[in-house]
Amino acid sequence: MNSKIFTSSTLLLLSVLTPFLVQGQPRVVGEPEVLISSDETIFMKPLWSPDGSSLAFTSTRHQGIWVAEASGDNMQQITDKNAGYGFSWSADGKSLLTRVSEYENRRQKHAISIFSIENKAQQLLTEFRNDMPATPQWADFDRQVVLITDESVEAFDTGKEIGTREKMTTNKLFYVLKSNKLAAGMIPTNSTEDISPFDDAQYLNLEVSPDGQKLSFEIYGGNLFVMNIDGTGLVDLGKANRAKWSPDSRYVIAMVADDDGHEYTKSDLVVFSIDGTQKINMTQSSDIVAINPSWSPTGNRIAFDNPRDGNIYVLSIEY
Amino acid sequence: MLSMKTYLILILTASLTILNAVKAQEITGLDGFSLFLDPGHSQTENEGLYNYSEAEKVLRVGLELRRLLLTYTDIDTVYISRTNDLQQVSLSQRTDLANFLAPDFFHSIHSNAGSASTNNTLFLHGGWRKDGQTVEKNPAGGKDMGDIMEIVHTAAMRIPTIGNYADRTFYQGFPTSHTNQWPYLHVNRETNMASVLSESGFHTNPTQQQKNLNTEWKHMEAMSFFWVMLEYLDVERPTVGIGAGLITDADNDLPINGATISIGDSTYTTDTDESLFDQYSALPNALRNGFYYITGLQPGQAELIATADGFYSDTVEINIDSTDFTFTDVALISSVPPFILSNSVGNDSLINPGEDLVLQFSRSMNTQSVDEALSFFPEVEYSSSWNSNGTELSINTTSLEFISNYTLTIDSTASDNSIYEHSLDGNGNGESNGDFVLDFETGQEDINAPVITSIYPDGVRPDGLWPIASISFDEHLDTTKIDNSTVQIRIGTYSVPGVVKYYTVDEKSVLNFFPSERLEPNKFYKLQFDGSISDTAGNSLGKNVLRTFQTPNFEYVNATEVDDFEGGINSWWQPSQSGSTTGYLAEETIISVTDKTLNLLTESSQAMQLNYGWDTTSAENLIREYRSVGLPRFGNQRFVQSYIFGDGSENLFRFMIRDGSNQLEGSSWQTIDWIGWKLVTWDLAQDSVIAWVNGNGSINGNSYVDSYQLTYKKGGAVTGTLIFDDFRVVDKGLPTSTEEIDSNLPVRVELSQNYPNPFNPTTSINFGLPENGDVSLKIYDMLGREVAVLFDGVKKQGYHSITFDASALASGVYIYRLNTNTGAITKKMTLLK
Repeated sequence: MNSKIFTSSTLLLLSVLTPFLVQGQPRVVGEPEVLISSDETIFMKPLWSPDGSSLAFTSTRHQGIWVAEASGDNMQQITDKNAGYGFSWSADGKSLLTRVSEYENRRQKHAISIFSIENKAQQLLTEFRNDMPATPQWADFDRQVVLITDESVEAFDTGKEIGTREKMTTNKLFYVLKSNKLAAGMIPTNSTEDISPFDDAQYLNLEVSPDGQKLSFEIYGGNLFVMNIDGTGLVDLGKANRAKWSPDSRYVIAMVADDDGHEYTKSDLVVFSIDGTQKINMTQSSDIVAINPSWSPTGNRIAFDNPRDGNIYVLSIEY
Repeated sequence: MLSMKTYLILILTASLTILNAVKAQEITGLDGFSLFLDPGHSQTENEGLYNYSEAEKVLRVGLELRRLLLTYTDIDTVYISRTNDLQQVSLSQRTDLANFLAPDFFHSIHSNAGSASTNNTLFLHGGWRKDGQTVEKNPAGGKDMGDIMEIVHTAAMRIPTIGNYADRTFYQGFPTSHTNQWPYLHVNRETNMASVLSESGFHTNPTQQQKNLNTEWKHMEAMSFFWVMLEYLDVERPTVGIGAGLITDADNDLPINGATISIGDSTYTTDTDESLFDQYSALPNALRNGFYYITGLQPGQAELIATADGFYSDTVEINIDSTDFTFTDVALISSVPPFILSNSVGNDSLINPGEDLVLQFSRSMNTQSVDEALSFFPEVEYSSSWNSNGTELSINTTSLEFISNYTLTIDSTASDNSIYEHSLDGNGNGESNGDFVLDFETGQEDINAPVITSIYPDGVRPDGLWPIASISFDEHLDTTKIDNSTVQIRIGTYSVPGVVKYYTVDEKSVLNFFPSERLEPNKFYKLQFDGSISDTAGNSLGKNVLRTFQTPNFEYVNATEVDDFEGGINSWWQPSQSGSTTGYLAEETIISVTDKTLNLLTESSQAMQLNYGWDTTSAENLIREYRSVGLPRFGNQRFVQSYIFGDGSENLFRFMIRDGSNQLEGSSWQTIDWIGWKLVTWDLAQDSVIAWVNGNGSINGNSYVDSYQLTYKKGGAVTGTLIFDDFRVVDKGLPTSTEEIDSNLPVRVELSQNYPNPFNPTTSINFGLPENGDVSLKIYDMLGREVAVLFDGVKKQGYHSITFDASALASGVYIYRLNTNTGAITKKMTLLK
């Protein structure tokens, strides 16, 4: 009798939890597979397109940007310019926003640029400038790009059309790094609000969760953190770098690396639950130095690179 | 629109990554330029000698360089990756921050590590080989910057340079094309700007590291980098007036602490224990750099006056350069009169006729004046000899009567070798003009032949193919009967060339034979000791002593040097400094450098001597001879080795290492039952591992040397002396090199380019000698670390060919160096796997 009650209760509980269990802990299936490789070029920093159908990546020194299909096929170079640091996809997956740089008289000149995936056309949003200690961000449903430094907030029209629904809402916040602050910005006022959880800290690698409710970031010389977009709910995830969000906004994946001051001596990818209670190793390989993860919007793949061979790898994920 | 100049304040928890400074802006032409300085490592990482880390040093160089640029130029921005000793910054964050801020150049500042005797500069920009050409990374500029650093910074350091290399060529050699067409180093690979990594000398080199401790030394390094930046941007150097140099003791070249240098109205006092060195060593006068650095001088003619307590002052006319450092080194002459440090008669005032009576002087002497001032009472005929620098006199006593009393006197007409010709302070009162008087007795006549107490190898295979053969006696020997044929290793009619050395330990003696060439593996050799071996009374063995031994079928290869002691013993603590040392006599227990008893299998010129004494009433006795440098690291399958000159004390010795889990693991205790040189080996994989303190009896890889350890064994000697040389970690491998001799004679020393080159894994190195002589052929990596010794000993005249098997080495560029009596020849070769 008791046994039946227990069984029934268990089944009931399982049925209630089924949707949650389906979205349970991510785990790796099989070994990492090489997705993209080249005889001469070392690729790095893969970034999935918003719909997960494509992957953009750069090469060492952040020279050039390439795009390939999620299968790794049809790789094409979008630009060979010094443009690979801090690029980001437009929401429609048709463009890449980045900062491009050129040298003149030993000095770098920088401009904000958008590259079309379809025809590789470059759209310069600014002239080349001597200083640009920031990376540009999409804003206002990609209708604008903002460049925020300590001294100014600049907005540039991208010429992108936005849908009717988006036109009804023009106050979506964006989030940016300043030299010693995290800031939330607002279009069209071009104002920023300090949401920094720490005084006098340098922040790095800010990422907004897909549901728009959380931020992940690093403290320079410190740990990886997540918090709510209003600056509350700070969680210290420990020593980890270059985090990216899971599509359900419940996890971040980051690289946990050791170095000897000259080279990475090892690096593994680790998934952190955003409450800090779970920490799941996704790689445990001494052969591969796994860095720069990116979680596919479809949730079932994680791309990363390995500086020892210059390949882009993927991990298959189940829940 | 942004302003052209952006002075960002990047603050990290009390750290400032850019300074918005008030600028003098005397130097223009840097407008629009921004720089990211990256002092390598964090906190106290990469500990160097004296517990002063690379991270601490390079941070201060970087901070000073940033100050100079922001104060004196119109540069836009200088970012810096660290500003204090507390930050822990990963490689990824350094390059992420730099890439985010997008400066024009990235300079990663480092110092190097390796052998204590190695010191040089090295510069690495991003680059690789493609189609027979070296390609610099894009954005370019790192090579240009490195080329300027190679000249300007190396000149400031006043040490050799390895050069400026594309980083992948430095680590992986010069193939037609590298497999990986991208920069090797992280900072060159991930930065999207021109970049270079500099290595400014070795923090494991005692001479360099004692300078590194000095604040102004780091300012000098920064000033040279400052000039490099100006030249990179085609900006002329400003007018400067900087006097710098070293103040040393003319007697021994040691730097002088507390010397005062005056140039015009400016003065500088070299570091002292009180001002600096007390922070890094508890031992008085253990550290010294003699470095001075005076800025703000008026260019042109000036007078430099150097003074120091115990030395005569010196005045030098100098010309202050207006665009560079003005280096002036001054060797001061001691004003302390010479005195006798020690004599070999000892506390028992007894010497046996035939034993040398040895006197040690405090400084180099005018040997003729001493010879003339020396007399015996009662008067005897005697012969004597001096060491090469005039500090040690050995008197032959064979002509002295048995069981007699003598007085040796050196009157104060004896003088030192300086231009001041100080008279001897014979009575040790600190002033010249006192006679030295030594009363002693002689022992009774000996009529018995010396007794052999041990022979090596005897009934065992020797440990390797370079065995130091040994025969020990119960008494001292007549050195006039000993030459290089007294001990022979023979195979058939061939006698292995080598050197015979005679040593005494208290009343005992030993003959060591150091072979000059490697023995053949797995062969039977005869070891012969000549019957003419006699004690000091003339009693000989009477007939030859023979032993037969078989060589092993292996040799030790891939030596990783722990310490060859050529750079001194500053990385070793005095036994008393370790809290683990217990049950010992403090006044008897001390380490020092010796240049008298050396391992002749290497080019050793120095070794570490440990004098010790035990408190036999103590419940525990341990001397932990601790090494303060956590390098090199080594794995579980290796062999820890040291040559140890034993004292036959019957006390116990062991090695102690700290493994990758930070646990202390030791070798088994070994009885010190030998006198003379012996190679002591610990096979980490096969021999016992004994836990100590936090250890567990198992070695968890990535280990480094913690200490030599001694303990007292009941019945063992209460006092003694051990000498350590050539501490290393090796692999055991099959014999790798073979040799062929060409009978034609070269007219000069020749060293040919190895063939093939590049090679994998074997190559031949040919060299020619016009005459017989001492030769070494050694392999070094590009960091100057010795990785293999192909030969070290005596070679006959003619051409020689040695095969080098580099199976155990990584791909890369290596240097091979032929040392002969006439000098050294060096060439590079490339191993490509």
